[in-house]
Amino acid sequence: MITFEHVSKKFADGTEALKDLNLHIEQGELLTLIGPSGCGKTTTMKMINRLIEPSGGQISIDGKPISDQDPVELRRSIGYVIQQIGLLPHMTIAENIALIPKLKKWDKSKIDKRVDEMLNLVGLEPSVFRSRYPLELSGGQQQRVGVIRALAAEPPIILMDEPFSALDPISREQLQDELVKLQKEIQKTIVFVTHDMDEAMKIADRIAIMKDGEILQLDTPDRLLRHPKNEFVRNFIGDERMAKGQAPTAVDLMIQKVATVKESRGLAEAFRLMKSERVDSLVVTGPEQEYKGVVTLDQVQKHYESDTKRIADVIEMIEPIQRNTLYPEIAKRFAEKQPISIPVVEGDKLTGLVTRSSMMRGLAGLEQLGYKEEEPLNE
Amino acid sequence: MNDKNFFVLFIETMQNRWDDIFVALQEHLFLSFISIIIAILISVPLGIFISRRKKLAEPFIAVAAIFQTVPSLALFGFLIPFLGIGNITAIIALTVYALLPILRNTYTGITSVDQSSIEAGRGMGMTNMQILMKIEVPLSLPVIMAGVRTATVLTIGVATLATFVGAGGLGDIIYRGLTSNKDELVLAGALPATILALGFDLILKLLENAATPKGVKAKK
Repeated sequence: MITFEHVSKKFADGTEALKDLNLHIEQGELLTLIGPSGCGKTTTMKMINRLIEPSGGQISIDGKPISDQDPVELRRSIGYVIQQIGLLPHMTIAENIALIPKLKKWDKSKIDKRVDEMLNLVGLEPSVFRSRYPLELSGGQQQRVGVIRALAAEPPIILMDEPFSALDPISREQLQDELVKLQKEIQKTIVFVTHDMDEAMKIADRIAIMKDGEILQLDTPDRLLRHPKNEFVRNFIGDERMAKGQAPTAVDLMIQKVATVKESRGLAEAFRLMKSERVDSLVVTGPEQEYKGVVTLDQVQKHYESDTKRIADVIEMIEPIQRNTLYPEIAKRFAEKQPISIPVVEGDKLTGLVTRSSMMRGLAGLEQLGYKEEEPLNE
Repeated sequence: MNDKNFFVLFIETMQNRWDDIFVALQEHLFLSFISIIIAILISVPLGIFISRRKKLAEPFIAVAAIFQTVPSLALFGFLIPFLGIGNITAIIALTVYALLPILRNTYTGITSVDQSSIEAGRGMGMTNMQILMKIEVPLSLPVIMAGVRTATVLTIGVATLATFVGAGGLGDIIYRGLTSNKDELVLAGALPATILALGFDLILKLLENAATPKGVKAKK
């Protein structure tokens, strides 16, 4: 659909915004461009509707180079949504939505019908909102109008430049959900620039991670999480998620009050402890709370008869995880090795335990972390 | 001067000289109007032009400001050697005087239009002309109108000096009153000039409000 071939951009002041960029955007996909500021993501997007001209290389849409097309005509066939929304304050909502259809000289009855259809699409009642002015609307409502204004003239391509990042968190979530739902219905080719990894993960079919004018990795969200190509990508995914304050890491997902036992103890004592704490495994620690391994009910029962055996003899080593280990990795460990639980350590000291259900609860609502202390031990 | 008689004298002067005053009033309006319209025709496009080339804005506004600083009577004086006396000289002087407020306000108005509206417009495929006519001009119209109002009030005031270049106007009446030492005649010229200025100020204020787009007022 949209193809970048060896596209480069040098600005007049000498900064090299893009270096030999190659990118193919499929018909009907939602592609996010993401990266730290100055990585060239916005430059890349603005080249598609010729708001920025490349210094070298070629961009084509459906095989036709865009440099041969009239920029004004080209832009009318590409929807454009910006962070600052940019509704025209002196025009009503209906006039704003009708802007491009009018420039394209649609007839009035068709425009009116389209305006109502668009308003309904994002849940704004036409009879109420048609004649309102942008400044009478909330930020979230304004950006809904911004989105449908871009859709009104039925462009096959839509460019979105950090469209939701100026909104409050609740509106942002809602608009992201609506966009995902909308995209299922309209199946447009959407190029979406963002700096928010959570947003990209949520909405994108594919994510292009950019740095210093190059695409480091272009993959589906799932593959990015599983196979980050290099340290930068890994850190970018990680750092972004942690910087947001809602990054699920081992700390968020673990329980702190763990039933532990010292390795020098006998099996009978371990059995009694499991019974009284109603758990089927204990974490074994040394004198200084250092992590040694796990003992399970199965093992204790198997060796119970021999009263010379102690915990040290039946211990199982489950490789612990660090406190800052990210959720995707923890999920992978559970999926691959099927452990009952994974101990969390800081250095070599035990600090908690992630179980399948503590993980689920942690993901379901991080606000519940406050009640962690009251949760049953080890499940 | 007998105060008790002054008011009566003034009324009598107004009645006796009404024809003269009326002619002077027409001349005054004519001079002011033509000058303002020429000033608008020059300043608005120029203001739009310099808003596109900000490097030129400083010098253009500075030149207009220098014109404005020249004492009004001196400006008329400067022009006489080049243009002689008459309406043309008066109109040129008044126009030069009215340039600055309109130019400055047009420039300020256009450059203070929210850039996001313009970016959205351009990104959606509006031509430069459409951006100007559908976004920039409507949104900056109140500011431009405020400039026109300032210029109009100024011009109506300064137009009383047109008499010194033989272009008539209410200044004629005032000047005649001064030379013949008739205060009531001075007032018969000054009062209509004042009323004219205040009246236009009011009318243009209303126009300015009408020019403010409805959607923008909603914000306040």
